[in-house]
Amino acid sequence: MFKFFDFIDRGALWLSVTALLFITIMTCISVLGRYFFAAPVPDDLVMSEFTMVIVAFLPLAAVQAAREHVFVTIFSDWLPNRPKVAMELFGVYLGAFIFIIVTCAVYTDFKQAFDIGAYEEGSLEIPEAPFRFIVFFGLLLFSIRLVLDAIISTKGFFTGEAQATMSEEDRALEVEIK
Amino acid sequence: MEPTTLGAWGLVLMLVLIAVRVPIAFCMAFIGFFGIILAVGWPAGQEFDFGRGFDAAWAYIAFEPFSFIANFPIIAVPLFLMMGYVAFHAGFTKDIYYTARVWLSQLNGGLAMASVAGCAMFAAVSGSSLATAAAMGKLAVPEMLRYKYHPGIATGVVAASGTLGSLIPPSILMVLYGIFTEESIGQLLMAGLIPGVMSAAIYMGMVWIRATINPELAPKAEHVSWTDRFIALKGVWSILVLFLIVMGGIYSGIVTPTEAAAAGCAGAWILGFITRRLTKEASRDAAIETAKQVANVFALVLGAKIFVGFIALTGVAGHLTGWATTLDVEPIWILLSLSLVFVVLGTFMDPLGMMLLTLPVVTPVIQDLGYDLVWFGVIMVKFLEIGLITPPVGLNVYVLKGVVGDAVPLETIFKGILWFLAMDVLTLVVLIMYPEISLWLPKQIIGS
Repeated sequence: MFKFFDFIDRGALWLSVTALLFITIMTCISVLGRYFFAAPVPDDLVMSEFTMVIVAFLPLAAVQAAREHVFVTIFSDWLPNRPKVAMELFGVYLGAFIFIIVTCAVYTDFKQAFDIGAYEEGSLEIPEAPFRFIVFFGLLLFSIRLVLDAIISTKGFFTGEAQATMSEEDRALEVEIK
Repeated sequence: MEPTTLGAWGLVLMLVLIAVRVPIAFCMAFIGFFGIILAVGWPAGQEFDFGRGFDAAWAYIAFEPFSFIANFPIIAVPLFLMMGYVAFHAGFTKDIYYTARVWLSQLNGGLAMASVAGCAMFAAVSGSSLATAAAMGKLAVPEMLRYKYHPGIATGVVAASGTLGSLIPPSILMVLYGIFTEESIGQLLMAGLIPGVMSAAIYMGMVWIRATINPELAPKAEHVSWTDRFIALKGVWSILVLFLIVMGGIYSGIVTPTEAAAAGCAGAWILGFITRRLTKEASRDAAIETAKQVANVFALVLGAKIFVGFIALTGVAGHLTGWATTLDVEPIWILLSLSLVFVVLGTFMDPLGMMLLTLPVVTPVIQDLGYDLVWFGVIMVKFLEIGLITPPVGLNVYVLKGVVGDAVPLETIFKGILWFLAMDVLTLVVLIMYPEISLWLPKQIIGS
C-alpha cells in the first residue's frame, strides 16, 4: 500500500512540475504575443491562475512523505530521541486532524462549484469545478499521507524504532554546490 | 469571550506548539480554524454557539485555499523558485563565487569579499539563507582557512552573507510580503535592490578595512593575471542576463513581476541547455526540488491564510494599533520595539514562518503609524536577516558549525559574526533614517 501511495505522490509531484512549466511557457508566449502582435493568449491569466492550484496542492503529500515541513527544533534538540519522536507524533496527529477537516470543507466547495456549473468569465469560459477538485485531491493525498505517517510513527514510537526528523539546519548541511 | 483576549491566547498557544516541534503550517491552520470558531461563536457577553462559529470557520477554509492560491501575483513564487533551482543546478551560482574570487583575491580580505558576493548571489537564487551558509561554507571556508584567514572572519563572513539573499531580488520573502500586505510586488522587489547591494558593499568594506589594518586576519591570496580575470568574467554573464530579464522587465514596465518571473524561469532553462550545463540529472533535480520547495512554502501560506482570518476577527491588530497611537512616544520607538520581536523570533524561527506569523498583527500598526509599507518590507526583511545570525542562537551559525565541525569552535564563529552584526545594525540605522534609499528605485518604475 505504501508503494502505491509513493507512486501516486511521485506522479503528483511531476504533474506539478509539468503545470509550472506550462505556466512558464504560456506566460512567455502571451507576453511576446502582447508585445509584438498586441495579441496575448486568450484568458492567459485565468489559465495560469487555475493551473497554479496544480502547482501548489499536488506536491503537498510528497513534502510530508519526506518530512520536510518547516518546524522549530532548537528548543527540543537537547532531548533524547524518544521525547522528540513523541512531540513529532503529536504534530502529525494535529496536522492530520486539521487537514482532514480542511479537505472535507474543500470538497463541499468543489461540489458547490460542480453543481452550479461555475465558470470564470472570459472568452474561454473555463469551468472552475475541475480545478477546485484538484485542490481537494491534493489535500486528500496530503491527509492520507498524514494518517499513514501517524500510523507508522505510532508503531515506531512503541517499538522504539522511530527516529526524530532531521532539523532544518541538518537538512541544509546536505546541500552541495554544483 | 473578549476577542482580543482570544487573539492573545491564540498567539501564546502558537508559540507553545511551535516549541514542541509541531510544523508551523499545522500550528497556524489548527489555531486559525478553532480560533475562528471561538471568535464567531463566542462574542463578548454572549453564550457560546458552536454551530455558528463552526459554520463560519468551515465556510472560510472551504473557500480560501482555492481563491487565495488561484491568484496571478502569487504565481511569481514558484516561478522564481524554479529559476533559482535551475540556475543553481546549472552551476551559475558557483561561477559567481569563482569570478569574484579571481577579481578580488589580491586584495586584503579578498577571499572573504568574494565569499560575500558568492553568498549574496547564491542566497538570491536559492532563496534559503541556511542552504547558502551550508553550501558556501563547504566551498569557501576551507579555502580561506588554507590561506591562513582568521577562523572567525572565515566563518563569520559566510554565516552573515547567507542572509543577504532575502533582500536582493528576486526575493521570495518580498513577493509573499507583497501578497499578504497587498503592496506592489514590483515595487517591493525594486525596493530591496539598493539596500541588498548596500549591505553587501558594507560587509566588503568592513572586511577590507579590517584586513588592511591587520593583514594577518585575512592575507592576500595568489596573484591572478589580467587575462585570467577577463576570462573569469564569462562565468557571470548568465546570471547577469537572468537579472536583466527579471529586473529590467519590471523596471521598464513591459512585464508584471509574475511575467518577469516566467521570463526569468524560461531564460534559466534556455541558458542551462545552451551552455550544456543542465544535464538530464540536473534538470530532474531542479524540477523536483522546486516542486517540493513550492509545496513547503504553500503549506505555510495556506496555514497563514487561515491564521490571518482568525487574527483579523479578534481585532488584536486593531487593539495594538489603538494602543500604539495613544502612546506619547515617537513612532520610531514603536518601530524599534517591534524590531526587537523580530530579532528574538529570528533567533529560532525560519524567516518565512516568522514573517507569515507576524504580518497580520504588525502591518496594521505600522500602517497606522504612517510608515510606508514598501519601505517597511525592506526593514522587516533586514530584521529577519539579523535574527538569523543573532547570538546566542542564530540558525546560520549552527549550520556553519555543522560544516566546519571541530575545526572552528562555536564561540569563534559567534565572535567573527559580531562585526557583521554591527554592520547590519549600521545598515538598518541608515535605512531607517533615509527611507529614500529603499523607495527611490520603486518610484522610478516606468508606469508605476
